[in-house]
Amino acid sequence: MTPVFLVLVWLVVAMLGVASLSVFERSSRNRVRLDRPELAPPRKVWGGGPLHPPSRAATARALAGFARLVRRRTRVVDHRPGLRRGSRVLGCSALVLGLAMLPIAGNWGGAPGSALLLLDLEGGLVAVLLVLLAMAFARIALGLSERSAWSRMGAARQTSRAIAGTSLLVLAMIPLAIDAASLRLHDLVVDQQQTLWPVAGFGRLFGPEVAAGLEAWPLPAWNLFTQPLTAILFAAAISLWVSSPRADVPGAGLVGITGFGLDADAGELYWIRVESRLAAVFAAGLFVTLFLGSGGLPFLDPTGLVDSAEPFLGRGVPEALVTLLHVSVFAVKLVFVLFVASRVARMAAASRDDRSLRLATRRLLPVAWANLLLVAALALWLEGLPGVAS
Amino acid sequence: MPTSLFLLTALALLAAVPLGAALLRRALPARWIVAQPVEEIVFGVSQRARRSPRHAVLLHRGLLGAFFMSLVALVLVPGGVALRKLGVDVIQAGLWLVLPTLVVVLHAGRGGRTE
Repeated sequence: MTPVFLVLVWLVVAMLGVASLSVFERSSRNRVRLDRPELAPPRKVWGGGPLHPPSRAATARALAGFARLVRRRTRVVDHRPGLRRGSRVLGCSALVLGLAMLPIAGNWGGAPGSALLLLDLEGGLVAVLLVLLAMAFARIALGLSERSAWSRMGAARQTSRAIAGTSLLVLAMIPLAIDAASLRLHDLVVDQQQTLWPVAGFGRLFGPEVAAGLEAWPLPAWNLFTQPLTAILFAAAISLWVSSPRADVPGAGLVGITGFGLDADAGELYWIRVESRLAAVFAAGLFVTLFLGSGGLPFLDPTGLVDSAEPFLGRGVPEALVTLLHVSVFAVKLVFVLFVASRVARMAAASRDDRSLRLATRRLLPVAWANLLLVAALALWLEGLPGVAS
Repeated sequence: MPTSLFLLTALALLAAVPLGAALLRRALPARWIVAQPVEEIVFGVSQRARRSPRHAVLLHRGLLGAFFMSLVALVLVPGGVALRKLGVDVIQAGLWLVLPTLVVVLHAGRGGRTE
């Protein structure tokens, strides 16, 4: 029963992420600039009436998309169907396995030591790299399965991003592993549930009562607050990995000249969109896990909630409610990160690949090395301080 | 077991939409659903542009495949095994070896650019 329930929870959260991402993509694509209304997409006036055109109805759009899938297939000469099928299965399977590694449900009832995970790996961070590598490999194979030069340029773009993103991502993840002294994703999340160490040390100066009060209302030691530079570097590195070289840019509503899917039919486009949305949801879930404390809420001790409700409801119901709270908080954080990422992508200018790569290799890599050195030195210094956990 | 169940369920859900479309397509009259072949994109109309770049394509594909396979084989898998065997603390110890090397390399690169 429990495995089936866990699978359902993970499926619901992943589907929520994919659905909200598609909503954000559409809203940022169709957003009308108030100062330039003439730039509004012309499709808004299509349909029966200008107030409620069919393009605004989700059901009508879904039916139209399904009808496009049903119509006759376009068979492009010299596409390699076996390679395309294999790359689709490889990419989607890797991303689904990556989603299974995310600690969405936290601990059962908030109690330490009872992790609810679909895939719990000791070397979770290394496995994340392998997932991203498999995803990039699948995309490159997809680009190379077409003989079109535009598609092959998309494959080359993905290759260069993956090569530049590997070292940056490794350097952005090592400080997290040093801080938590583990590569396991669940340990990284548990490490963020402790009290923020400067506040705890400050409280000890005023006596044990103040320290106990601070422990009862713990400030979150989320890595976003303790290592903000690492968070920025991680976001840059993961965006290098995840940004899809699709021909149709979802946020801007443009059609790029290089990328996948220029001459593909509706079925091919369906798989390209599914894969790129899964990748974005995986990246956002990873950010929530590594930097936002996964499903944890600040100023809230879940074991205290269970203990206070135990005389009235027993332990089972409060523990289930706390677990559900963890899942809901994770889902809310995931949607929030997706929203912020889509708005940032909308506001920022689309960078050329050579400029992004130059920024990553010339500017961000030295900063990542400096950040790693800083975190390692801080960890060594804190190990020597009495009463401060590293 | 939950991982494989999740993987299979998620892949089945993803494939349900195109499979449903394919089933519906099979129910349509045959003259409606015959696949329409499309010529691939070529650059220019000369004989050289029309020639198949099959050999170059295979070389390119093999080169990229070899690069990523060697990345996995030489860096990621040994790194993961070593970290699992020695523990994460070895990263800090390794920094004492890596950082002086990095400083020397950066200094050498800077000297090389200023010459």
